[in-house]
Amino acid sequence: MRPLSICIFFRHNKKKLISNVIIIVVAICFVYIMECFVASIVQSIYPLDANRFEYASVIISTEAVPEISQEMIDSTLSSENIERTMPISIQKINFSVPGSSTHPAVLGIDYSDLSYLSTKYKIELYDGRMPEEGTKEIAVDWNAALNNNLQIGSQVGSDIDKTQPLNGTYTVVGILKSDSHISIVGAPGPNDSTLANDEKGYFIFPNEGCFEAVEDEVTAFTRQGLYVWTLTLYNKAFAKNSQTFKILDTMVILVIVVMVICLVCSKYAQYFSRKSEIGVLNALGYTRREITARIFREEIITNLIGFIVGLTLAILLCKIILAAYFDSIGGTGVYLYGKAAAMSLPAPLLTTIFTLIPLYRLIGRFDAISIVEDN
Amino acid sequence: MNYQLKEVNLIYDTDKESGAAALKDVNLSLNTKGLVGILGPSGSGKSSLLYTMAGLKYPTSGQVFYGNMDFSTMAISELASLRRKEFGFIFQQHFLINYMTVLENALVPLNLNTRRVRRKAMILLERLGVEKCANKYPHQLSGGQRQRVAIVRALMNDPKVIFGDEPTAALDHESAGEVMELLLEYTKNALVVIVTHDESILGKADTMIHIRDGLIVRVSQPGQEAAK
Repeated sequence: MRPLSICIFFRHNKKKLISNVIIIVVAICFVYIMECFVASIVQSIYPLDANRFEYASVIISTEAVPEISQEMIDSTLSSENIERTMPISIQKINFSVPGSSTHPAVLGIDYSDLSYLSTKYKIELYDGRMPEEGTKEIAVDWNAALNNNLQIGSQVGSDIDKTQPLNGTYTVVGILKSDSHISIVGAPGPNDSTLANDEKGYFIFPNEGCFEAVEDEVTAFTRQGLYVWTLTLYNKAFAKNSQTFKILDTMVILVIVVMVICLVCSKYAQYFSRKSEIGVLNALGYTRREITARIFREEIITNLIGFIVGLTLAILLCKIILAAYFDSIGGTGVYLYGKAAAMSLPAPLLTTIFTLIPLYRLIGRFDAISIVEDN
Repeated sequence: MNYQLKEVNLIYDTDKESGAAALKDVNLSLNTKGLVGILGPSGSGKSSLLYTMAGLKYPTSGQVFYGNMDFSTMAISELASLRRKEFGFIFQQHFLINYMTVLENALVPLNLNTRRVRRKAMILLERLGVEKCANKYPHQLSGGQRQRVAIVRALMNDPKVIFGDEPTAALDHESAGEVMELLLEYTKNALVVIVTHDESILGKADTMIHIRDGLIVRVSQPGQEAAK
């Protein structure tokens, strides 16, 4: 190997290489894991509500409009856009992950609608059975079951855990799997007179190709004093409530900036301590360009190694710790995330750029003879 | 190629009123081969003359010619390339690269690691008695050994001009003699310019330049004078 090759340099400066790489690895791991953590929260929480709005909009009665009649629906919605309307009772069950929580839907339906609902939402019975109509039984969504530590035979409800929004006590008789994350109870049904105002409503299923039209029509119910949930409205609400994640993003950027500053200062000091080497090379006839190219290669390789090792380690840590934990509580752990990889890139990239620019100027100031005379 | 300095002045701190003149109106013409000694008291401008001739310092005024090449018209990178191809430099301090072995330091000017080049380096190291230190690092050597390695480094690219700034200052008398013997061999094909306080090492010099306060006070050819 040539004496001025980076391999020789790294071979003779292993500690320096390792310490520089470790700093980059730590920076990348931190950024990647933070981003994956945020993504895991979003991926765990968002689908629990959003997915069911991909097939149907929901209107819910209020104190102002305690009963929703079929006539009201027929007069507001165009029949050619609607495939089906389905009365429902709505309750909620807890679901929390580190950093956030939500309440996925627990529905009571007419069992004549069960087949349609199951087909539409691709609901599969993973274990157990469906609850009997009129009973305090529940078939819990698989994710909600994991999150609340429920199995067949468990009991759940506000009588057992005051923090549970699910009224009363329910026995778990089935576990359901679907993208909509719907749980189904045997009682109360949609026509139960004991339901509170915000516990009854309708699913509005659009015809093929009429999704947006139905969303617009359903939104009109808000003027009539009803609660309305469509996918568009839910996305807006979710985005508004996700401001915290934007703060986390801002924090990540600040951390990157601080890390780059620390790294660049450290690198600058390291190269300043090599000024006699740089001066001698210049005196021996190496041009500023050749010396800078050599340092450029050192920096690129160090940061590239740091990036690759850091990214690999970060993905492994996310898979082993983050994803495993989120998956174990019914969430969705993210460990392969493009945005996280992209956010990890600035640390080594900016370090390289902001090291090379001042170093190029520094090398230009290293007059070989000044170094000789200073020593 | 011969060396010519025409009306060369080198003034430090030119932006200040009392700038220090390291060289004043230096005119010099040197042959392409032989041993040239530059003598003078401390602060007389010996090293400044050496650095100016090596292209490491730009004169404030005047011209330095190496053959047809006028240093004042050459870019810094061109001068650096010239130094790399044709000059060898021995500093007063060794300035070896600390993290490289002795052999790797010797190979730096060529930046090659072929068998032929390593063998050449080993021959020179053996000549100066430091061949057993080839795989050691500078901090494992004595000051004299480091200086000898620096001398090997200066000779690796078969320079046409070898500049030595007190090359034997860190060496004992015997080692200094060995080094001068080696450098004298190079004078058959190259110009060797030595700055020194020790006149005894310049016994076989072809030209002696005496400098005082930046002015060349005398240029003598001892060999010719002795013959007369």
